[in-house]
Amino acid sequence: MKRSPAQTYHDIFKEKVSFEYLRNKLKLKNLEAEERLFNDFPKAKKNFESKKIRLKSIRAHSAKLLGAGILSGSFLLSTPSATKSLPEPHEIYSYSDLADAFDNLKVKNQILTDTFKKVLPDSVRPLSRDEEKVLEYVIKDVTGIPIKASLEGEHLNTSFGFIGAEQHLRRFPGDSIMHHGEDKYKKSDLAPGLGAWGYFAKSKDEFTESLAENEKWYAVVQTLYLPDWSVRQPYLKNWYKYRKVMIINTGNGNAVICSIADSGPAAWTGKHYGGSPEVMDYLGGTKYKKGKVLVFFVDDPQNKIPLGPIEYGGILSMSNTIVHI
Amino acid sequence: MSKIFFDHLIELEDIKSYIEDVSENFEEKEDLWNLVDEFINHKVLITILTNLDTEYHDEFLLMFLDRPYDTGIIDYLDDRLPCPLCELIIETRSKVNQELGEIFEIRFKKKNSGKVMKKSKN
Repeated sequence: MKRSPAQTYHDIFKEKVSFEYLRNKLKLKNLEAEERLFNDFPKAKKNFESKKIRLKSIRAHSAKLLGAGILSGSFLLSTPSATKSLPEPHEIYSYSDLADAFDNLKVKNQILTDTFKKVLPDSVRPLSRDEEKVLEYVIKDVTGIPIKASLEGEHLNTSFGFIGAEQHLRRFPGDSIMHHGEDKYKKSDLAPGLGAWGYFAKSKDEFTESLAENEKWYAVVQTLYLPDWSVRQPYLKNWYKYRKVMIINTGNGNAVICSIADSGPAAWTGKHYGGSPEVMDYLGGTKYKKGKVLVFFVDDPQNKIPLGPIEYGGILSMSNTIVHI
Repeated sequence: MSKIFFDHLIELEDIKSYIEDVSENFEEKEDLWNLVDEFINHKVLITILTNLDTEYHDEFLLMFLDRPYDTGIIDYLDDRLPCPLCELIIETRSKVNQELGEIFEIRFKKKNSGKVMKKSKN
């Protein structure tokens, strides 16, 4: 059947999907680089062989070592200056500060940002279990939302890192940017490809309000770099799909409950998480493209905590008061 | 957990958007991400070993293989390299960007030339 001139996109599409060219080129580049490395520096070859590690798997090797450190409760960074002496929560704020905070949003943000200054390192890095515990405690006290760095035995690559702005995700076949919320968010456009979990619904008819919220408040985390990602499938992929996380801007204390709907970003982007246009706007404004954040799982087995910005004090939970320390 | 001690010194935003544009599904994108990652790791290691006195090669390689995530390696290298690692990596990053850019640009030129041909036929 003859195609209309408007259908020439079929040819472009065919060329786009044959990514084999790029893949082969990159593989060739890597072989050349490896050959140069081992020819010019035979000691490197000897060391890699004696440790039975290949450079292509160095990231997975690092992941295993770091994962083991987190599980055992120790932190493996060797630089003593990298870890601060941690304060107890009652040294950061008092019960009366917290009570006052429930009447004033600014003060509550202040409690969080003051805590971050005292607990977080200057440069982003995976946090120790002790650091995460203090943060879990304070954030639960201030927001009323139960959060955990480790939930059901799962732990993100890092709880403290850089977030970057992402585009909207295609929610169902035929989805267009016109149907993605407010005009100011349409500038971000749709990502060319699908997210790690594909479409949110198989068709527009199957698309629900709840799925719309998942895309609106979506987060991207580096599941692809989890140490056991490739061996614990399909369990991990299912576990992470639409898993709720709280993302907190460590600079201003703004926090959003998000749903994990994509995997990334790549390690060489200098970022560790991504956020939808709406998430980024709430965290730091429409011009906010990259910043330091904390990311924790939300412990919400009954699915009662809504996605979106956190109204501090909206869900009161004082079970964590300093009385119990 | 995933971290190489020089990760924070490498940022290749352009390549990210090229890959986004080329790959249609996540598996393809992930595959390309990993190949770019491998390429960067090779290049950075070559840069370090080229500039580091050979007497420290074994020590550095052992540290790297035992604790690839350890940012303390940067301090170790800064004490032994002719200039700080971050400066060396800026140079490497620029070369990597150029080399990868060439591959991706070729790809885009091919795609665009297809578009032009179709237009001229019509």
